[in-house]
Amino acid sequence: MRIRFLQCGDLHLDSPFTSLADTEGKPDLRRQELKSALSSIIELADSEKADMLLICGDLYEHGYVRKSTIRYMCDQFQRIPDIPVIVIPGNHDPAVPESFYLSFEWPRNVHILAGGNRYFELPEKRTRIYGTLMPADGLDPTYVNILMYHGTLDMPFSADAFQPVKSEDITASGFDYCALGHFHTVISGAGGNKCIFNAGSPEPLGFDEEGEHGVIVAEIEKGPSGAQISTRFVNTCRRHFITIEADVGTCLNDEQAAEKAAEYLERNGSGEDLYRIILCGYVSNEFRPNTELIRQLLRDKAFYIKLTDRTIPDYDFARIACEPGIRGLFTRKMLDRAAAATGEEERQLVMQALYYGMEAIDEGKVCV
Amino acid sequence: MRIERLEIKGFGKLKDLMIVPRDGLNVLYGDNEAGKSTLQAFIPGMLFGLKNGRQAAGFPTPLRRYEPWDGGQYGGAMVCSLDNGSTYRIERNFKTGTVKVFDDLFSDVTGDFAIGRDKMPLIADRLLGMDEATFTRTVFIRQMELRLDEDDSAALAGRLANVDSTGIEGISFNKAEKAISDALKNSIGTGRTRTQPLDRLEARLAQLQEASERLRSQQERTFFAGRELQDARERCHRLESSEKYLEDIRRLIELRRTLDSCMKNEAVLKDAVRQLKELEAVELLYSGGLDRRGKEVILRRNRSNGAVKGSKLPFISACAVFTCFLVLLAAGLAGVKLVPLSPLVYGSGALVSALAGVLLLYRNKSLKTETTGPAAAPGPVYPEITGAGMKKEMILREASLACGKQLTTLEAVEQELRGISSGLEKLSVELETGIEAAVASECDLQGYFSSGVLDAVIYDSDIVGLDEAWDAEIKEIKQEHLDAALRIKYCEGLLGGDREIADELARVTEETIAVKEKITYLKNKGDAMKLALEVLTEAGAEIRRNFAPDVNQRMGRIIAGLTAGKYTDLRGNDKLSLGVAIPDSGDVRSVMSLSGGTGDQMYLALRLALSELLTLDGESLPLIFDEVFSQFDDRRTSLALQYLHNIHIGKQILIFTCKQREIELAREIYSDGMNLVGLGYEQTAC
Repeated sequence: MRIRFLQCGDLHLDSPFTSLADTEGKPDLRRQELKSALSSIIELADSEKADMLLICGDLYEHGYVRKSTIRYMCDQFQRIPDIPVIVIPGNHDPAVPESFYLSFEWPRNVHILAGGNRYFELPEKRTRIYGTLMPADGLDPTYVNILMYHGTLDMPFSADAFQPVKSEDITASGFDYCALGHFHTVISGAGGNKCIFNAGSPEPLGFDEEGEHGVIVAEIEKGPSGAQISTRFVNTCRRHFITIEADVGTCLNDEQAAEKAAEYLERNGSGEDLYRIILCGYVSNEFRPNTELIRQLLRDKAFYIKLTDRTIPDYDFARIACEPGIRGLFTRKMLDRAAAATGEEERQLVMQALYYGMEAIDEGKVCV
Repeated sequence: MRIERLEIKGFGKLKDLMIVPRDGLNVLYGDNEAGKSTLQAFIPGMLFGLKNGRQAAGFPTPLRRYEPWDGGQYGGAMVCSLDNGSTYRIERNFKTGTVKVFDDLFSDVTGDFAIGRDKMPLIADRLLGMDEATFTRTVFIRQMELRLDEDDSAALAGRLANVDSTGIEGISFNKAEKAISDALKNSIGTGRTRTQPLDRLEARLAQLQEASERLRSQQERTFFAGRELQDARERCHRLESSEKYLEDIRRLIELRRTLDSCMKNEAVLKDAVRQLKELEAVELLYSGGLDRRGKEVILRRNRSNGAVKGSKLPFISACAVFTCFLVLLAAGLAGVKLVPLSPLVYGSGALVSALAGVLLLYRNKSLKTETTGPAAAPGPVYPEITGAGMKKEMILREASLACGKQLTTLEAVEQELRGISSGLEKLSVELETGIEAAVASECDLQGYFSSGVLDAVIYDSDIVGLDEAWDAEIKEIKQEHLDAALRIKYCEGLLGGDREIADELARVTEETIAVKEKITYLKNKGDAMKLALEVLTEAGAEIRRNFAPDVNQRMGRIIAGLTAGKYTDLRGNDKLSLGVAIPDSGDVRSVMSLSGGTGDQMYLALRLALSELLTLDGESLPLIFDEVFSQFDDRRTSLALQYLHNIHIGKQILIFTCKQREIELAREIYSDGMNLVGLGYEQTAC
């Protein structure tokens, strides 16, 4: 028997885009794009002639979702009435008593594996999709048995880990395929029998999710010798999060720094993407990059820009440390502390303190 | 630097005054209120400008304090020459707030000076290498301000921290410390501030967190409202079914009522028909309208109820007798041959039989007569015929009343009866069908009309009871329905705002994150500034500890000179708090515990030591003292003047005094080298 399906998860519809919190309008736009991503997934399921669509949790943000969004989802699912859509809850859309999973009337082709729902069966494909790692009645090996699980795979178990699970447990469970959710990055063929797959989020949600994002088109063929799995990753994301370092050491003012940063932007991505630009390099003592102004100058170059100033004033600290008087002594003390710092964060703090002190001594003022 | 000339156009009570100090000692003498202190204040006023701004309550600012009393010109000029020989003329107009500096070529060099925070050129800072705070705490001593308080000492200590600098002007530990402190206070915020950026952000974060909690509560209420709405709708639906069910019951009750009425009418009409028929039969009986059989019936009935006195011989008895006759006859005829009986027996039997036959014949004849004869005359013999017409009318009237129609004949009654009977049948079927339908509707209404007992209730209960029970049930159901409808409206109202809540919650969450990021950003900067301040303070203290021996050594020398060797060991710590070794005992005492005059000597030693130190590699400065020997006796004054003469040869010293004795003592020491200027007197050279 053979079954073909599309696996996705972690759409986080109606999520507050805290990574874009400092810009007006962009969070709303991204939320709209997440909805469009769902629409694209539906179209892909149709075009791929999938037998079913698996959504592995975190479909929406329980604390923020609007009912209109739920209705939108239902409209989308109704576009593929002949394709079963199987959904499991996640940590962001738990099946709590007030959950829309339990209180809303979903289209007929949507099946939510929550509460008392043990599994969903596709009889014509002799396939069962389970929402629990240990089904009470065990697994029928004559079926293609698929596990949908939203949890943390093979991470050190801590209080923060959501539904931690080990790959060897999944392997030992006897499932032919594990459709995993929760991680926003792709996992392909993990576990001893290489049956664990995580599609990641179809659209990236923060700067810790750089790279490509999309869904998995999978096919399982099960015969007497076991299940053969073939998968293909399909890119669905419209935008990318990109981090770049821009050396503005030769710049003397914010305008020059903005021009330099723009060059880096053009080399690394498109105007549709979201950038975190780290300004670095040794700059003149008299130039303190104004990140807000530089960001304004770059606003038309990308969908979103976040600037971090890591430039270093071009003091000749080696020479200054040799000076008598307060300037030299202060510099020597700060350099000693920087050398003794236990981490990069502490070192940066010390260096920032050194710059403030030098500015205070030399200029009699400190620009924040 | 030395002051070449002071030109006062208008300054306090002084007007159009020119003073030309010389090298060496200049004694500016005048009575009280001659303007000595005002003249002294003119000097830093020309060098550094006059401050205007926030001042302690009740005290005028320097700019206001020295406004000319007559409202005339307010300003003047000062000519000074530096150690390198260059000369500068500084002209200030305090009224307009303008200043000009001319070099010895009379070129306006005002623009060559850096601009300070008060937007005025930093003239003396550059020419003297010293700011006003340092100037007024070292070489410039105002009346009764010889001693330094804790702040003054700390400021001087901070200034000294950079005494070994590479000569970069403006480097000041105090300035740097203040710059960082100001930045911390104004751009970040401290735990004690309320309106600075960090404070505002923290306050905003608190507001956002409160808003988030409030929105979450609303959201939770909305979630529950959603469930409650669903429950209310289901309840409404059930109540609507129950209402419909009760409406059906209402119909059934009406059917039952109609059925009862019809049955009652049917009974009435049936009875009417029967009675009318009887009445008609009676009428026919006497009008010949009846057939023989009918007559027999009536006659028999009449006889049975005593209405008619007639033959009492029942028909059956007559038949029995006749039958016996026939049997005996037959037996006799046969028996004559078979059973020989006496002819008497046979004769008797024949006689009885004949008698029976005669009676039968008579009965028939009577009947015939009764039924064909003339109608019985009204009287006690046929009471139903007597007034039959009236009775008939009464019956018809009753029948008409019962069925609500005018019935005038038996036929009409019969027809009506047929109609009613037919209707009854239909009603029964309809009621039965209606009950079955109601039961089949599976309405879950409990109570009096529950489907399980509906059949019995409809058929067996009395109508009044049914009506009362129905009224009670419908009232209750309608009330519940109304309550459910109101609940739906309420929940819909709550849910109507769920989009706004979600939007607001997302916005609050996003802003919360943004604010937290800003707070983290500012806190990181604040931490860096605090670290800078901490290390700067540490460095400053270390440097002060380094210069302390130098200062102390100088102070020791100077105090020895001022006290003719009585005190030799005067020391200050890194904050320039003074302690002195008492000559006889060697005990160290705080200078604050000494007598006024002795303490003044100590502070004069400190000031002179600091002046030496701070001008060591820089511009030499005049000493400008106002009534600095006020607490000194003649000997101390003489010792001090002698010291100044010994140590500061060639230096310019300006002493303001009202004491003639000081002039005399100075003259003893300086003789021709003293310049005596009388305020209120013409300048004279001694």
